[in-house]
Order: sequence, then C-alpha cells, then structure tokens
Amino acid sequence: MRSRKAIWLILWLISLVLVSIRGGAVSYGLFFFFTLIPVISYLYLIAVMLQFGIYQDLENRNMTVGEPQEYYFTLQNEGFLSISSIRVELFSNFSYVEELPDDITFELLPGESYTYHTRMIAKYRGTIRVGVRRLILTDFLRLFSVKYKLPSTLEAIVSPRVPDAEEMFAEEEFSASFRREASHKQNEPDMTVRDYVTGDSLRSIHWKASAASGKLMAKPRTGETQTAVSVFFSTKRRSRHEKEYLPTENKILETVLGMTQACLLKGQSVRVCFPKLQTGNVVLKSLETECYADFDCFYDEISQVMFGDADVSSALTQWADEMGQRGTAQKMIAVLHTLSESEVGQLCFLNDIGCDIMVVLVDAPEEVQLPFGGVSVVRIRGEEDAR
Amino acid sequence: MRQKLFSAEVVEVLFLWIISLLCTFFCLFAFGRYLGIHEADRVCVLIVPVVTAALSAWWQRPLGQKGWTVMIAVFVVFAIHFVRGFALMAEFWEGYVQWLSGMQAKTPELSVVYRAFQTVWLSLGVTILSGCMLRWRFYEWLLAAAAVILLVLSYAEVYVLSGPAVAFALTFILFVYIGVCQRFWPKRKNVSDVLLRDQQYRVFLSLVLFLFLLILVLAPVKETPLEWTALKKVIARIENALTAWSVNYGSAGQSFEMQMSGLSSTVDVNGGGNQKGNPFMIITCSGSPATNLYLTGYVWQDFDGRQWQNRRTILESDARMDALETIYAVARKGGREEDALKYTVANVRYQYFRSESVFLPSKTYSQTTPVNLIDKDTQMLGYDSEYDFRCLQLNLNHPAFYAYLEQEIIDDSAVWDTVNYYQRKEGSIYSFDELLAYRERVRREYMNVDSVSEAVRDWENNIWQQAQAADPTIELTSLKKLVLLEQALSQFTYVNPAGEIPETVDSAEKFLDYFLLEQKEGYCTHFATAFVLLARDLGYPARLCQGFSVPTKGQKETLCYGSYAHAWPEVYFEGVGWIPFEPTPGYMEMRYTPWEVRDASGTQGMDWSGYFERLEEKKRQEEMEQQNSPAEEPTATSDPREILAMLVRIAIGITLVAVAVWLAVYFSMLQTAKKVCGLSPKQRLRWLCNRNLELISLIGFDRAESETLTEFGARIQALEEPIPGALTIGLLEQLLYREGEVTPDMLQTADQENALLLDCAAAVRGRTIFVRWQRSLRKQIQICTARRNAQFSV
Repeated sequence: MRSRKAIWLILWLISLVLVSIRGGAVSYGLFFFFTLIPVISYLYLIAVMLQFGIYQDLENRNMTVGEPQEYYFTLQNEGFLSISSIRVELFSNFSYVEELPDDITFELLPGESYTYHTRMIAKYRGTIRVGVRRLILTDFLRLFSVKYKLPSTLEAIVSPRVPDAEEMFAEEEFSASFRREASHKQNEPDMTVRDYVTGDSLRSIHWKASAASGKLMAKPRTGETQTAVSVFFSTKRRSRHEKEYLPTENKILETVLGMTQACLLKGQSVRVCFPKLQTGNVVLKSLETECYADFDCFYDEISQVMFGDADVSSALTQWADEMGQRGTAQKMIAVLHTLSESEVGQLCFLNDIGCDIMVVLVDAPEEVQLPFGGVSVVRIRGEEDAR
Repeated sequence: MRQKLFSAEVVEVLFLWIISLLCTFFCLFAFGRYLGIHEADRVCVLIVPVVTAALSAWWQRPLGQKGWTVMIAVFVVFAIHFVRGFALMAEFWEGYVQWLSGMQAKTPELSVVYRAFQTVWLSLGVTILSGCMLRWRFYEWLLAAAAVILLVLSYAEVYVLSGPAVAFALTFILFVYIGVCQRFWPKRKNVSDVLLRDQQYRVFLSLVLFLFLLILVLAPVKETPLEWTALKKVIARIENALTAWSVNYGSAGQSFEMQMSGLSSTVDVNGGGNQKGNPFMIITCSGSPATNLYLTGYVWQDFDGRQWQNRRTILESDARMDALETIYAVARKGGREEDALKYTVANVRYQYFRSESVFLPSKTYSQTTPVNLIDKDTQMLGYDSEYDFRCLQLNLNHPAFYAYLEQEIIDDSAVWDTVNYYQRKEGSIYSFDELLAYRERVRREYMNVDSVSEAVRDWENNIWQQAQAADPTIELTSLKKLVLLEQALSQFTYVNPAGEIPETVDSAEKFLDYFLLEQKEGYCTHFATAFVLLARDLGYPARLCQGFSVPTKGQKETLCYGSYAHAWPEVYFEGVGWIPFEPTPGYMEMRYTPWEVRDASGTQGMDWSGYFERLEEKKRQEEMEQQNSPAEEPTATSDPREILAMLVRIAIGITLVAVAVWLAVYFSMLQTAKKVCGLSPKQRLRWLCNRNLELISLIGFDRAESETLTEFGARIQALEEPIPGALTIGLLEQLLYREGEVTPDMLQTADQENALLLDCAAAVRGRTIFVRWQRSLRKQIQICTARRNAQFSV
C-alpha cells in the first residue's frame, strides 16, 4: 500500500506541475482527478463503516485453558456499496480460533455475509478478551485504509487446565519423587465407613463406598492426618505486561493443579500454601485436600487465586516455619518463578533439616544458579503451547 | 449464506450500461462535431445498449458470447429508420454523405434521419464494444489505453478534448483500473464466475464512480494555468500576520523614538545615525501632491541647552485650528486659495514601524481614527495600522504666499465664521473666541525666550548688513529676517553624527554661542534648535518638530524609510498659523517646491475674491429655497421582487439547514441503533434500564441521593397513580448486585417497560424532542434486531 500511495503522490505532484504550467481540460482534469482520489476514497470508507455489521459470540464465556469452545462470528454487508476489503484481526496473544488465521481479508457485495462456526481456544487463564479485535477497511484502489476498533469485545473467564498425570510424571525428578514409597507418615490405607448423618462435612463423604452401597457413606473422623505433600507457590506478579506475566502465572497454577491431582490420585493428601495480601499484610493462605473427591473445590479455589505484589520471601519463611512446627511433610515442593538469596537460604535450611524439598522454577531468569545446596530443582517454561 | 442484491442478469445489464454511458459520452464530447450527433440523441444512444442488454437478459443469454442478440436489437432500431428512408434511397445516401462531411445536404428535411442514423451507428459500435468488454478484459484495457493516448495528445494540443470528454475518459480509466486492482487482489470472496463477480463488484461501486464523474464534470476548467490565487492569498495573509507579529512584538519593527535621527526620546543633541532597510510607512495620496509632505510626530517646547523638554503631539483640534487660520488668512486677503494652498488627501499605513504617535502634517484639517492598533489602551500603532487625513499644502517660498505672511493682521470674526462654515463638513467648528484663546496658548507655550548673547546678536547683525549690502532696497521685516537666518544656517555643514557638545554648554544661550560661532556643523536637530531659539528671540513663537520628510511630490504612493526621519522648526505667524522653515543644509529643495500661480481660476480651493458678496446672495437664496420647497417624499420602498428573492433564499437556506440537521440526527440514530444491537445481553439490559430511568426522571421522579434502588422502586409503586418503572428498577438491582446470566425474558420486560414509559412521558410532558427521538430510536433498534435475526436464523 505504501508503494501505491507513493505512486499516487507522485502522480498528484505531476498533475500539480502540469496545471501550474499549462491550462486546458486535461491539466485541470488530471489535477482534480488525483486530488479527488483520497477524498472519494475516505468518503467511501466512511460509507462502508456505516453499512457493515459484525456479530460474534462464544457459547460459554467460562473457558478452560486448552479446551475448545464453540465460537461464531458473522460479517455482513448491510448496505448498497461493495465492500472492497475488510481485514479481520483477532485477539491472538492469549487465544486463537481454529480454522481461522489471525488476520483474514474479505470482500462483500451488498447483502452478502460470511459466517464462521468454529472453535476458540484460550492459551492462558484469566479474564481475557477474545474474538475479533479490530477491522481494517481498505478502499477499492488499495490506497487508503481505516482501522475500526470494535466498541465492545468478547471477554472470557478462563480457568487453568489440569495437566495429566503422565504429563506431570514426564520429568524424571517428579517421577522419582512420587514413585518413592514412604516408609512412614503415610495416610492410613484402610478406612472404615459409616452411614452419612446430617451435619457431616461433605468432605467426609466416601464417594466410592457410597456408589457401591447406593447410599451416602462418610468417613469417621480419625484425627488429623499428616499431610503427605506440601506445595508452596509464588503469587508475585513478575511484570506489568500481560504477555510476560500471564504465561508464567498460568504455568504455575497448572503445575500446582497437576501435581495436586497426581498426588491425590495416588492417595496422598496435599496442602497447598501461597502468599496473600490481607489488609496490607502478607499472610500464608493454605488449602488442604485430603482426597480426590475434594479436588473440584480445590480447583475452584486455585482458579480464583489472584497474583499481585505479595512478598514471597516472608511467606516462604512462614511456610518453612509451619512445616518445621508440624513436622515435615513427606514431600515439600516450592513452585517459584524467581529465587532471591533469602529464598535460597530458606530452602537450603529446609533441606538441611532433613526435609525432602524440591523447587520447580517456572520461567526463571538464567542468572539463577542451579542446583544449590543439594536441593533438587526442575525448570519449566511457561510458554509451552497449550495446543 | 450468500445473498445477492440483484440477479446476475440485472448486474450484467447495469455493467453494460455503465460502460456504454462512459464510452458514449466520451465519444460524444470528444468527437461530437465529427459525428454530427444532435444533443437530444445522446439519450437515444444510451437507450439502445440498455434495450439490447435487457432483451438479452430476458432471454437469459449472456451478452458478448451471442452477438446475434445484439444485432437483432440494433437491427430493429435500424429498420425503423431505414423504412423511412427506403423510398428516397439513392438521394438519401447521397444527402447523408454530404451531411456527414459538413456540406449542405441536398434534402435538408432528412437531416433528422441522418442524425438518427448517426445515433444508430454510434449505438451499434458502443453496444458491440460494451458487449465484448463484458467477456474480454482485453477490450477494456485497450480502450483505457486509447483514452490515455487521447489525453496525452490533448495535453500536447494535437487534438483538443473538452472538459466533459476528459472527465468521462478519466472515469472510464478509473473504472478499468478498479477491475485491474480487483483481479490481482487476494481476498476471500465467493466466486463461481470470476467475470460476473468482477461485474457485480464494479456495478455496486458505480455510485462512487458517479460521484467522481459528477465532480469532474462540474470542476472548473480554464485555458490559463492555475494561478493559485487563493493559496497565494492565504500565504500572503500568513506572511503578513508573521511580519505584523515580528514588527509589533519582535525586533523586526523599529520604534520611532529610537529612530529619530539616532536620538533618544529626550532628543539629546548628541548621537546620530542613518537608518535604511524596510519601509516604515506607505503614504498613498489621491492624485499627485503638489509638495513633499512633512509628517510631524512630536513637537518640543523648551530647550535647556542640552535637551528639549516637554514633548507633545499636535492635538487634532490644534491642527485643525492651524489649518483654518491659514485659510482664514487667505480669505481675509480676498485671494484664491490655490495661490497659497492646495488640499491633499492621503492614507498612511505603517509597515516595519511602531509608535504611539500618529504622523500628520501640521495643517491637517481632518483625520480618521487609526485602525489595526497593536494596543488600544496605549494607542500603539504597528504593522498595518493605518489612517487617512486631509491637509493643506502651502505654496512656500512663492511670493504670493509670503504676501499672506506679511499682510497686516486685521481680524474679522465674520470672515473667521465664514471660513469655519465653509469647512464645517470636514470637522469641528471653532468660534472666534476659541481662535483667540488658541493664539494665547501658543504664545504662552512656545515663547519661552532665552537670552541671546551679544556675540550672537553681532552675528545676526552681520547677516542683516550683508543682506542690505546685497540689496539696499530690501525691507528687513521680521519675516525677512527669519528667511535670512534660514539661509545663513543652511550655509553651515551637515554632519551626522555630530561630535559631542562640551559639558560647558548648559543653556540655550551657550548652545547658540557654541553652535553658531564655533562648531557650525551638525545635523537637522542642531539647525532646527538654533532656528527656534533665534525665532523666539525675534518675537515669534516657535517650536521644534520631529517626524519624517517624505518626498511625495508628484507621486501617488511613496515609501517612507527611517532615513527620512527629520527635525525642523516651525514659526507661528499670528493670523496665518504655523509656518515651517528649513535651515538644515541640503533640505531646501525638499522643503520648498512652490507651484506656479495661474491667472485662470484654480481647480483647488476657494476663490475668496468677492466671496462674501456671493455668500450673502447664496444664503438669501438658500433661505428662500427652504421656505418654498415642499417636504421631501419618503424614499420608494424596495422592489417586491427583491424581497421575494430574499425570502426565497432565506427559505432555501433554512430548508437546507433543517435537512442537514435531520440527516445528522438520523445517522446518529442509526449508529446508536447499530451499536445497541451489537451489545451483549448484559450490556443491552443495562442500556435499557438506563434509558428507562431517564424516562422516569422525565416524568418527574428522581432517585434521591441517599435512596437505594429498592426504596426508589417501592416509592414508585406506592404512588397513587402508579407509573411503569418498578420492574426496571428491580432488573437494574439484579443486574448490579446479583450474579447470573441475563435472560431473554429480562430483556423483554425492560423493553416493554420502555414502551410504557415512553407513552407515559408523552402523556405527561407531551411529545417532546427527547420522547420522539427515543421512540424513533426504539423503532430503529427493532428493525436492526429483526434484520439481524432474519439473517442468522439459518
């Protein structure tokens, strides 16, 4: 388009010279002709802007990362002029649409329309804008264009996905950690059940037994069970830019969810801790999950976790202290995206006192020296494609 | 699902017609005089292709591929004309050929038929060509190339095309180029037939092409190159504005006080320097002035030996009084004004110059208020400030004029009053007492006589003696003495800058001693100062004038530069007025440019000879006429046709404005409706609720500051005559504070409430503009929604 504009400008200047040198119908005609081209083009583009219609919708605004959702959009020419070119640009940073490239150009005759019924897939969790971002209208001479930003865009609330157990165990360190049979501090393998009575916690319902017996059965309280796995993850936002923080946060939550699911499937209870800002103070929020039946509630809680400016070091310290007071869990995992010196110190301390600790670094900068202090470390990238 | 506006056949017809239109009119305007086509036949030329295409469409045969359908249609038209000419075949063809070659046809009554034939041939050619272009792009491009060549030839004046021909040619070229662009433009489109698609595309752009064509045809065409008058005016205005700014507020303009012969505002005799460069002023005179103009800016009153004190400008009333007194002198003597005076009208426009003072000749008897001031409070004039004046020019150095200066002063109040009466149209009238008071003031202000040393008196006496020696008959009147002093000073040397005056010179007397006896050189201010002091010593009120001496004699327009800044003395002759002198060496020719006195009656001014007798007679006649003349009839009313034309113009103007406003409102409404249709259900519900709340407020119920939505809703429900709106408030509350999706029922409820509230508002407030607009908007939204639902119901 730039070369065409340059050609038009040169021709216009030539006509300017011609009309300044010699009069006559041709000189004046050419001058007015080339001068009118941008005027008519922009009038045409304004007319086109008034006469096209675009409609789009998602079947369900609540999505999960990686899971396709029905999506359609329709482009229609509601006027009486041909629409030479409409280029549709989609939001592509955090989502994509199947069978549709990120920008696609259409031509529409009056009354013509294009409808696409396809599927949309979100890449990262969060509240993101999806679908058509803007339209670029070009005139019939391919000289001038205007950008039309949609006044209202689609927003989707995307929840994180839960990776498969096999995916989690792909890493050697993980598999080694979780396949190791604990010689002590196991949860009680056998459990008696009784009939469910009103007042029992929903969490105490033993679903398997209930399904087998055909009536609700609950687990009796047998006292506090010791947590098999304790997971700590950082909720500190690493950047102000969506493109930088979303993949990392998404990966952290996926890792936590995946590990938790994997542990629960193996019958290991999990305690997940993360820092949270409350009335200006950093508190350590904990979520206990004892069995797989509780995973749905846990998932909802984790999906709602907000990342912000909570100080990780102090929370990590609180977690370390808590683990020390309770007695160490079978396994301690810290999912972080940065490592400061104090955090390294804390982790080394835990390792020194005999804790089986592992650090998962998500999108950590290369400056972080690994390994350290005998602590096992796994690096993963947040930009792994969800497709 | 693809939907077409027109069927393929209709599109083909339209495509054919567009091409035919462009080609035909190009041919007609370009080659009309050779084709001999009557103007009315142009319409017929257009009809043939359309009829042909319509027939073809009806038979559902695509054009171009089946040329015989074209031929049949043309043959039908041809046959109609041929039948008429059948009987006169031989003569017909002979006459036709003659007519075609421009000769007088043998059978003139057949000229209509000849024109019809031409129409048929042209239609045939255009139809076949258009038909071919439907199917083969080659013909399109060929014709476009031919049009380009013709345009080049026309520019080179090998073959001249008219304006409309060029317009049609350019539009055709654009039409073809759009097709070329389309062909090589990759984009997603439903294409079953490439050619048909291209035709449809271009047919539905024809409105744009038509707009193009219309503007090109209506665009002005001149034989002379474009002069860019408007652009030049704009550039000149911008340049003017920039110059004005730099002159008025920057360093480009010079302040008068700094330019007056290099002196400071206190007119210290030290210093000096010439200024040249950009003109200070432009003086435009009506006619050719008889003398050069001396424009006075300031006059000075007292001299302390080193500086002049009490600077002042000449009051408008004093200048007028001075002029009247001079005319009074001529009238008293009973002579012709042209012997002594001439009237001049001039305009002064400041350029690279700013000053708080206007510059006017001493004898200005009327002036206009300056315009385009930089600062109205300080009356600072700058770039483009201007004013007009009327003044007297004196026939200085002519014996006839000096006769007035030497006449015995016998005041006659009747003559004074007569002079005032005669000059009443040009300005104020002054009584004889005012004249006497003016003279008294002049004497008081400008007769500060300083003592003169004996050495200077000896110097003066020497001059008198030399004059008497040269002409023993000379009568040494005071005037003569002034003239001799002027001549003596003009023999000194002009230097600029002059040297420093010694510190010992601290009085007027010492200055005279130093300047006249010792230094004998200086610039204008020195000479003018010395002359003023000497004139006062002789008993005449005298003053120093600062301004510009402008060489305007014989010129209509004169540029005044800084180098024209000058100082000169003026001496007051009682009964005559202020008379300037020029003691500065080298300036005599500038000052004294007397004109010859003619025996015949003058063309300027009054002839006072026998005037008073004539005046008396005139007065008597005027009185008699006033007594006898009837009352003046009122002026005729305006032509009713003019009034009607004005009313029609006003009506058209109002109509156009109303149409423009209506269009703006309508398009705004369309946009809003489209926007609302595109909103999500939640957003739409909120929008509806907000509109309903506005209507509730219009009806007269507003939510109080501390009132919750629930309370507001309850208040509305509790009214004696309830109004709709409670449901809206409930919906809004649900929307704002509760989770959940928006259901179609909620939207329908809000919409129904909207309709009810509109009716209620119309009943309560009447059909206000707001209510009407809301109703129209509602309709548009319904249309838009229905259209959308109909489109996507598949």
